[in-house]
This record gives sequence, structure tokens and C-alpha cells, in this order.
Amino acid sequence: MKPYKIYTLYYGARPSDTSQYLEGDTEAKPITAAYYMWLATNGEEHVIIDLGYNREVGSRRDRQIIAEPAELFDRVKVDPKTVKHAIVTHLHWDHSGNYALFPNARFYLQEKEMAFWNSSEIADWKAAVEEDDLIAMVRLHFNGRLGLCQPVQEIVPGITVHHVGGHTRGIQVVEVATEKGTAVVASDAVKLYRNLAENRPSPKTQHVPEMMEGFKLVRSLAAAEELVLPGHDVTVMDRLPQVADNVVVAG
Amino acid sequence: MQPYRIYVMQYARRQTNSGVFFLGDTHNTPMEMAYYMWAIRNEERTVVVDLGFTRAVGEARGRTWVAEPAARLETLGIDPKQVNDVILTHMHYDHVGNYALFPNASFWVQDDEMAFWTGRHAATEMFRHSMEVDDVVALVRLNYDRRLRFVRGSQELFPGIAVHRVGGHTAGMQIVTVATASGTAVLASDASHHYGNIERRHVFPTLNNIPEMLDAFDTIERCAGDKRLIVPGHDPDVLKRFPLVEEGLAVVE
Repeated sequence: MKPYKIYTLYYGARPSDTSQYLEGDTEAKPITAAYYMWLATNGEEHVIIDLGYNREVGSRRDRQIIAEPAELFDRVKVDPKTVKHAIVTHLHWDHSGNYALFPNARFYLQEKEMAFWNSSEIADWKAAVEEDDLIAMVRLHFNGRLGLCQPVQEIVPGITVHHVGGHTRGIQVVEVATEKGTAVVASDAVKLYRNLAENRPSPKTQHVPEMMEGFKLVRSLAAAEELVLPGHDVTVMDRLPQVADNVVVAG
Repeated sequence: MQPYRIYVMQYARRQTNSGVFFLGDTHNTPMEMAYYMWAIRNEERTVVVDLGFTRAVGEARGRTWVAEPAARLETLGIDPKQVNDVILTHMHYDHVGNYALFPNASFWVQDDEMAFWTGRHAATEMFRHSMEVDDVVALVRLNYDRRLRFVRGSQELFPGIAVHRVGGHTAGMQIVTVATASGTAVLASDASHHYGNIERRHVFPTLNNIPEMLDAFDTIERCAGDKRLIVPGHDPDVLKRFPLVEEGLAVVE
């Protein structure tokens, strides 16, 4: 099994501040919220992690697109049609939008995540989900194209999902074997490096104790801080080596 | 609390055989399967139970159409737009098709049922063939619209009308008990397709859990005021055992 490299694809952005990301923050320091998709590839196997948002939903929700996802794939010379595995960490609108880009992929979601968004508990939380994305997942499921994952499940050799819960009840992080050791695509289980470094949950978390346990799991898996990929931290683009415009690499 | 009448409304049928009704049966005896919806009424309220399938789905699956559900409701003087509550005994294609008939209703389903059909086994062929994906999608959207109401286990939804999870046929199958003038009636739906299933304790071949199916027979008998007040889900004989309002429409009271 060849180790993977993980490309962080920076496609969207919006001006924000730290109070939106750190529970109890009163400083409200301005930061750019980055919107990412991640591509784990070892030359043979390409696995996309998270599906971003598309232009129509982005503009409705007042987020910019700074580079089209399809264009970013071009820059790393991977054809989205050759992606066979698409991991969806959770069903929030900015992580589930571009399923149509991957017509030959099998999609992977935690069973708990699918269950939550089809339960009696969605009322307080559903503003963060695009109903049509949820429907798309249901249809993919009945068409045999959705893997509803167990809490710990290997997707391909070297890439394993882990249910952590917290941010949403069914969010999963992705463990990836790289040459530099185990990397973790944490997505919104760790929105900024600071959440992990300061052991601080993000606001509007569905289950805070689960999030805190999630931090412990991420720390125990990742070989180094540089091998943790947070969900929305723009400083990733400075910390990691650039391979193309809006694309950096880990591992 | 005024006792209810239960109206049994046939909308379709098909010719089939005993192997379809009884697990392991090899006699191949010709048998007819009836398709029903039910309406529970007293002066205060009307509650519909199950939604059949649409004509289009019926045609695609080779079922013989008998009457429009809307026409049956009209005969009974029920305006579907005024129906506030529909109970879904389970989510198979022949029980969830006509949600569009009831634009102002809330739909009541067991937690376990929705969880199963959005869970990892739903797409397995042995389960999937009993489903219309568009129906599942419709219920997901109804949930988003706050029109799907969830029940866990047993719950009295209205005075004299209660649901009880039995499982068995599907993960979240529920039966309905109704207070009628003759005592408690039980809408068994697919917990007993035919009188023969419950009378001979012979399970139906499409199933999720056999022990639960067997326990369901006991639960139904225990809840019913009298065995004659048990209403199976697909038996044409129901229309012979209760008085008729018109052909294909019987009343239990």
C-alpha cells in the first residue's frame, strides 16, 4: 500500500472573526474563514474528503467561491471522474454540495449522521443542512452508491474513518497513512488549529463532551500538528508547502 | 369520548398464491390479495391509517386498480384536506403512496421504521424491493417541513386511538388499537396480512424479525376486545365479515 499525500483545496472564503469559532471568545479578532475540500491520493487511489458547496448555494448563503473545485482538481492533475471514493464527514451545507462532480464515486457517511438528519431532533439544527443534499444522499443510498459507515471503518487500505460526533452527532474524521506518519483530516471536528491547541469547543456544537473526546482521538492518531487538517483554518495555506495556487500538501 | 367507526377502503387487488402469504408454503393455492386504506371516524375527528399506493406505482407493479382512494373518502364525506393526522403502520410501497392526498396532515411513524429505511440495510435488495424511493424521499421532506411525527413504542395519539410498535414484518411496524362501540378493534395491517397468518401463527414471507412477528400475533389478540375485531391488512375476507357501505368499502363498529 502506497502512502498518501493530502491536498487541501481552497475554494471558498468569507470574512469572519474568532467568536464564530472559539466558544466563549470575546476578542472577536477578524479572520478569514476558509472553505476546503481535501484530496488524498497515492497515484493509484484518489479519495475526496468533503464536497464543499456549489456556486448557487454559496451565493444564497453569502459565501464567495475563490476557485472552482473542478479547476483545483485540474491543477493537481486528477480527473474528478476517476475518484472512486468520496468521504462526507458530515451533512452540513458546506461539506455536502458537490456530489455531482463525482459520478463514479461511492460516497461514505456515518450511519449515525444519516440517522440524525432523519430523526425528530432536527428542528434546532436544520438551517445548516441543504435539504436537497440530504435527499441526494438518500437517493444515492437506494441506488447502492452510499456506504453507511460503522464507527471505525477502513475505506481503502491506509484510509480509515472514525466517528467522533460533537459538531454534529454523526461527524467522522479521516485517518490517512502518509510518508510522514498518520495524518487526520479533522474537518469541523477541529475547525481551527486553536480549537485543538486550546482544547476549546466551537460554538453551536451539538454535543460538547463528544467534541472534547474527539480532540483526544485526533491527538492520539496524528503523528504531528502539521498532519492535522482543520476544517476552516486559513493559516493551513501558509503552514504547508504550496503545490499550485490555492493548493497545499500534507504528508 | 365517542366510540369510533373504522372504514375499510379497498383500492386495489391482485391474484396471487398461498406461497406469497405463508412462509414456506408450497401448495401454490390461488389466493387473492386485497389492498386497503383505513379511516377511523367519530364526530370529533377523522384519522386515516396508511396511504396505499398511487395508480402509477400500481400499474408499474402489475396490481389491479379497484377504486380511487379519493373517491372512497368522498363516499364517506371525508374531505382529505381536512384530515389532520395519518398513521403510517410502516413504510412499504403499498402503505405510503398517497401522501399528496393529505396536504394538511401530520404523519405518524415509529422511530425504528424511519431509522431502518434511512439506515444501512435499506438498500439491500431483499428489503429494497418493497420500497418506492420517492416515498422515502417524500417522508424525509415532510420531516424537514415538521409534518412527520415520531413515536417510540406504545402511545395513545388521541382518546381511544393508540399505536403500538410490534416490529416483525418491518423494523418499526406498528398496529393501531381503536375504541369502537363493540370494544377495542385492532388494525393489524401487515402484522397479519391474512386471517390465516394470525389464526394459524404462520408468518408472512417478507419480514425483518421472526420472533417479533410471532409476538405480534399475541399482542394483537391481547389488545383486541374480541377476535372478531381484528382487521388483517390484505385479506379480501374482511369485506365479507363486516357490513358494506358499498362494494369494496366496509365498516367496523
